[in-house]
Formats: sequence, structure tokens, C-alpha cells
Amino acid sequence: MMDWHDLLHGAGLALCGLSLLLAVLLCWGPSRTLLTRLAQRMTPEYIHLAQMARRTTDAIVVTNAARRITWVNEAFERLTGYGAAEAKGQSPGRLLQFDGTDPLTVKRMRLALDAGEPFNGEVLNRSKHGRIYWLELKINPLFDEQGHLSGFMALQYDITERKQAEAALRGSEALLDKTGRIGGVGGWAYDLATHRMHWSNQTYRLMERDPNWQPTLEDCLAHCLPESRQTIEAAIAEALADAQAHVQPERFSWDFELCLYSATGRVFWVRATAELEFSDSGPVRVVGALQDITARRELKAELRRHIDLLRGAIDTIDEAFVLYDPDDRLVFCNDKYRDLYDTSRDAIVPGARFEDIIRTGAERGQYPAAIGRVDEWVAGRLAAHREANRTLVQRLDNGRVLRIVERCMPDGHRVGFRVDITDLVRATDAAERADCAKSEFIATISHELRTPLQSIIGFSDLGRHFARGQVPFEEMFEDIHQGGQRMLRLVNGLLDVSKIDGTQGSLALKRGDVARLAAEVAHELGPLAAQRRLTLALPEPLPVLWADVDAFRLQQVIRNVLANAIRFAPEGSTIEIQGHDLDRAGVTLTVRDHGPGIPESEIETIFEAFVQSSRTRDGSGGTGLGLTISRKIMQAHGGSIEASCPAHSGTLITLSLPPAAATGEARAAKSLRAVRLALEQAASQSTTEHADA
Amino acid sequence: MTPTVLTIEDQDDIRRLIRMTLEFKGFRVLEAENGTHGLAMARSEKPDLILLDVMMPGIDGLEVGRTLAADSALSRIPTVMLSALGAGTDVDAGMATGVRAYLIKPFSPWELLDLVTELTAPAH
Repeated sequence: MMDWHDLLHGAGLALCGLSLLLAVLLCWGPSRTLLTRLAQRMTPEYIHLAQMARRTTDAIVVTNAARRITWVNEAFERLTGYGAAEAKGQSPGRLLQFDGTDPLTVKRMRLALDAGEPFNGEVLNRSKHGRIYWLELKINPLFDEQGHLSGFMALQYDITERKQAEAALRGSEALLDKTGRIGGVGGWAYDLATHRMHWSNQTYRLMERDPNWQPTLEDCLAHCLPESRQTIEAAIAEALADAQAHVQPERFSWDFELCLYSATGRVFWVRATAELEFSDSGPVRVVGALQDITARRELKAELRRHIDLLRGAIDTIDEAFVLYDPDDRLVFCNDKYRDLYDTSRDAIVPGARFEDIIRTGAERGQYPAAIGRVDEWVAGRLAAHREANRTLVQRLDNGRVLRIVERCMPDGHRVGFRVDITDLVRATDAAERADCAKSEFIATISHELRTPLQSIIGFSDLGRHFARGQVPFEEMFEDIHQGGQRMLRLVNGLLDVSKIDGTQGSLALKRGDVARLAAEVAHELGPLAAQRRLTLALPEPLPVLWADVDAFRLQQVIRNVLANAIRFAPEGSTIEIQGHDLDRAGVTLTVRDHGPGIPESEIETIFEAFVQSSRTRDGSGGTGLGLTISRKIMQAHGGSIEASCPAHSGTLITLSLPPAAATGEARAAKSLRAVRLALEQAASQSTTEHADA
Repeated sequence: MTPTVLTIEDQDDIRRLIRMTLEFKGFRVLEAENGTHGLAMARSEKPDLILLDVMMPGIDGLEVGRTLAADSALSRIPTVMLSALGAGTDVDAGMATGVRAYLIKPFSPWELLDLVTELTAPAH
């Protein structure tokens, strides 16, 4: 079919040469005489040709000089849908021409035909039935024997399919160009036979070259920075070697990151990929793509810098850091982490499971707590690790003590810190031992002092009795007795300091009314206050202030505070005692005097042992232990004692106690608070001691 | 009849203080400077009251107290323990031996005198 069609097509084209003859045959219709005469002269061969013209598959149309149709063949009728009778007398343009034809082509055709010259071009026509189709139009003018223009003959080839294919190709090329531009991907191809390099528009844009510039392979290499050029040359050399060694050509596949110059000198990075294309005879073309990855590389480099910075920071910190992924596999840790867990160092590698790492350590005896019970220990440690909200203390085989803080990130990663608290633990232990030894020492000394005091106090007591009336002796025994009593108060105070260690365990707490306890002490000290014409003012009516207290010890505190106030308040003044129920915040008891007050700088130090305020250090009989003991007692209650100087004058002492615990849980919480306070105090004491040393 | 008080105490000055205090009110005072001697005197003299120091070399006061309590012939003699150890636990340990009272040093001579008078009164 194809061959036949091609043949006819070829024949049709060949027939162009016969156009003159055909014009004579077909167009001179009015001259019947001539036609008859010609017909008589027609040989069978001409008749055959005329039939061919009529039946050829290409459309043929003949017009007169006024460009009105005088003859059409069968193919024209099929193509346009107009019968010969309908077409005759019509203008082909008006009958068929469609608006889509390029206006320039239309103008060129009109000029050619007006001048009686041939025209070749592509036009868009519409058939009778509305089909739009492309034609390749070849129009030749026809001349009579005198050389005058007698008409035109047009050969029409339907090229719709080709035009559509071309449009599709243009469309896909445009799409390719657009996507290449958007994606920053340029294409290139190198023909191995012709050594021609072909670039896509995007490649020209990347290289900042004019699209008409024809690059050679050497031009392409000249666009590479030296290092990238070496990469390519090495790859080419390898490919050539492979080819010589008859290595499977399928292996040929390039994927490099290259640094290039554009024509204007801009330096940029591309990912260059290439493949080899084959025909039956072997490789014919190298086809590749260039993707601009400059921005991506800069982002990656920036990211890398950030990661390096972060890792550097983590490596620099003195604490061990570790990160596990949501599957509990090690992502990263710093050197300090490996150093701490030296026994299991070889197991601490990225990708290793947390469980495997700790099990390795446990089996090697790294954790003294795991010895003899590895499985149980690992299970417990794993549970705490998964919970990731606890702070643990871990002892290691090398004697180090670590505080472990583990937290879970929102995406499931677990961050761990190990703080080496060995020195802190040692210092705390030492401080505790020292404190214990100090308490024991004080207790021993106190007891040892009590025995001689027995003689001093006892004999002086007997002496002052027997010397009654003998003035010098009575006074001497009285002085010895008072001295003995003062020494006893000191010894008892020392004993209290060592006994009340600031924790709740040292007290027997019971629910009690703090205001009533205060009133009892005020009553007891009434005579002492009266000696100095002081008024002890209690609130009226007395509030009820419930708290969990050791009544004996709390009264000891109140007695101490009140006695101080009585000692230092100016004669005839008032000492105000107030009580407040702060509901959830507990209760407070305040004692306010109008004495000399305490300088701001001494407000805290007066609670230290053997310290008295500079304004009251007058040998007024205090042991210097009263406020120290009071503070210990208040802390052991989970409460506090604070001194302040109100705006005008005097001293305000505030005793605070937590609210009475309703449940065992609350009691436990309070107990914890007391322990913490005690620890803080111990820490501050040890700091003081260190500072002193 | 004058009540007899036995003081078992290793310190001379304390023994003297006790003797002066008690003799002042007419008590007959016997003295032992250690636990062994004190127990022997308690058995031989059958005092009306024993004042017993806790911290003594050799047999200490607690041991003496327990021995007195275990001896049917001596267990009826009221005993007062004297000690510089004043903590609750110390007092409890002392009282647990069966003594009648526990006096913490330094005590007042008048306080001792009142206690001894009370414990040796005919009603006792």
C-alpha cells in the first residue's frame, strides 16, 4: 500500500512537468473544436495520463486566470467534500481557506498569484464537512500559446498528520525546555560519529551561551574547573579502556558533581549524568543531563557547618552526651561519654542498640550494681531509659559516680547526659562524715563537761546555802553557781546543736496549736518581762494555728526568740506576738520588738553558731547558740525562721511552719522537703568550710 | 531510824557532794567507788536506798542495776540512777534495768535531797 501510495505521490510530483499539457486538456473547455481536434490527435498514452491525473491520490485543482475553479480531480472531491460541479466557478481560497493559516503565507500566495508566479506553501483548509486539515500547496501558473496567463493548477497534499506530529514534537520540546528550566536540568548529546555536541536550551542558559553557538567537546571541557576537568578526562580514559577491554557497555554510566564556569565566569556546581546510546552497530551517542546543584551544595555545606558546630560544641562540653534514635540505636556520642564507659568502649559505636551496649558493660562488671544480676539490672536500666524522664545516679567500676539525665524528644529520639558527680559525692560523703564526727565529738565533750559541772553547780549550791548571811562567801558561791549554770546552758545548747540535725526524724511531730504553745511560753516569761516593764502583746482573741509540731522543741524556739526580745527591748516597750493562718502555705508566728534591731548585713549570720549581733554583743548572757538551734528545729519541722528589720526600728522574727499534713502522702512530701532543706544546708555549710579553709 | 544510802560512784568529788548533801539532812551515807564494791556493800549492808552512777570503769551502772534487780534480796531496795547521759534513749535504757528514778547530772543537791527523802519515807 505504502509503496503504491508513494509511487503515486512521486508520480503526482512528476506530473508537475505535464502541467502545461493538462492545462490545455482540461482548461480550454470553451473551445470544443479544438478539444475535438485534440482528442482526435490523442494517443492512447495521453488518455492514460489524463486518467492518472484524474485518479491520482493527490488533490489537483485547476483555475482560470480569474482564479475560479475550472477542474478538480477525484482526490480533491474526497479531500474537500465538494463535488466537481459544486466546486466549479468558486474561488478556491474562499471555498476552502481557514483562518488558521499564517497571514504571511496568505499574503505571499496572493502576491505570487497576482504576479502570475508559482507558489509553494502550507495552508490550513476546511472541508465541506468542517474538517480542518493542513495542505502542502504547489501552485503553478498556466500560460496559453501566446504566453498569456490562462490560469493556475494547484497540487494539494494533505500534510495534517505531519503537522500534528510536528506540533506534538514542538509541544514536547517546549515542555522539556520548560521543565529543564524549572528543574535547572540541561540536556546534552554528543554524536560519536559526527563528533557534534548538542545542547538543550537550558544547557545554553546554564552556560550563559548564545543558543546559536555550536560547542565542541573541547569547548565543553574548557567550561570545567581544573579538578572537574580531570574527573571527566579520567572518566573518558576509563571508558576508552573499558571499550578496548570489551567490558560490557551497559556499565557505562556517569554521575559526577562538577564545578563549571559559565561564559561570563560565574562558577557553579552541576550534577552531570550521562549514558551511552547504542545502535545495532554499536555505541552512537552519549546523552546526558546537567543539573545545577549550586544552591543545594551550599545548603548542604551550611547544614554540614551547623552539624560540625553543634558536634564541636557537644565535644567541648565537659559532660558526656549521647543520642539514641527511636529504635534505641546510638546516633552520636561525644568522647567524654566513651571515656566514662571505658570498659564497654568498643560496644559504643553508632548503630549499636542501647540494650546491647549496657549489657556488654554489665557483663564486664562495669556497673557494680549489676554484678551477679545482669538480666535484672539490664531490665531495670532499660525501663528507666525508655521512660526517659528520670534522673538516675550510677556508680561505675572505675569509682566514678554519674548523674544520668535522659529525656525523650518529640520525634522519639532520646537524649542523654552524664554528669560526673564523683567529686560532689565524695565531698558530700566527707562532709557527712565530718558532720557526724563533729556531732559525736560535741556529744562526748558535753557529757564530759557535765560531770565537773555537777561539782561546780552542786557545791556552789550547797555553799551559798551554808554561807547565807556571810556576805563575801555567799556572793562568791552565788557567782560560782551562776557561772556553772551559764556553762551548763552552753553545754546543753551544744548538745542540742549536735542532736537536732535539721531532719524531721530527730523530732516527734504531733498536731498542735502553735498560737496556744506561744501563749504558754509568753505566760512563762511574763515575770521576766515584768522585771523590765515590758508588755508581751498576744492577739485577742488568740487564733487557732494548727501544725504538725514537736511541742517541746517549738516552745524552745519561741522561748529563745521571746527571751531575746525581752533582753534587748527598751524598758517599758511592747513586744508584739502575731499569728497567721496562711491556709495552704501553713502558719506563721511573728515576734516584733522595738530594740536596737539587727544590721542588714548580719540578718543571716545571726543564725550561725556563736554569732551574736554586733548591737547586742554585750555579755548579756546568751550562749550564741539559741538562734542556731532554733533554725535547726524549724528546719526539722519543714519550716523556717527568718529575721528582718521593719522600717522604723527593732527586729521582726518570723517562724513559718507548713500546714498540718492530712495524709501520709503529704507527710512524706514534707519529710522530703525537710531532707532537701537539710541537704542544702549541709551543702552551704560545706561550701563555707571550704571557703574558710 | 536514820535511813542508810549507798552511793556507788567512781568520782570522789561527786561522792563527797552527795555525802555532804545527804548528811546535812541526817542520812547515813555509805560509799563504793566501783560496781563490784558497790554490789558487795549492797549485799552486806542492805541500805535503804542506792544511788548508782552509770559510767564507771569495770562493771557499769546498767550492769549493777540489772544485777540488783535480779537479786531477790536486793531488788526491793529503791535505786536512783545518776548519769550525765540525758538523752531519751539513755534514760529509757537506765529505767529498763528496774531503777526507781533517773537523775541527770548536773542535778541540784536540793532536788536529790527531795528525791531521797521521798523514796526512803516510811510509806515506801
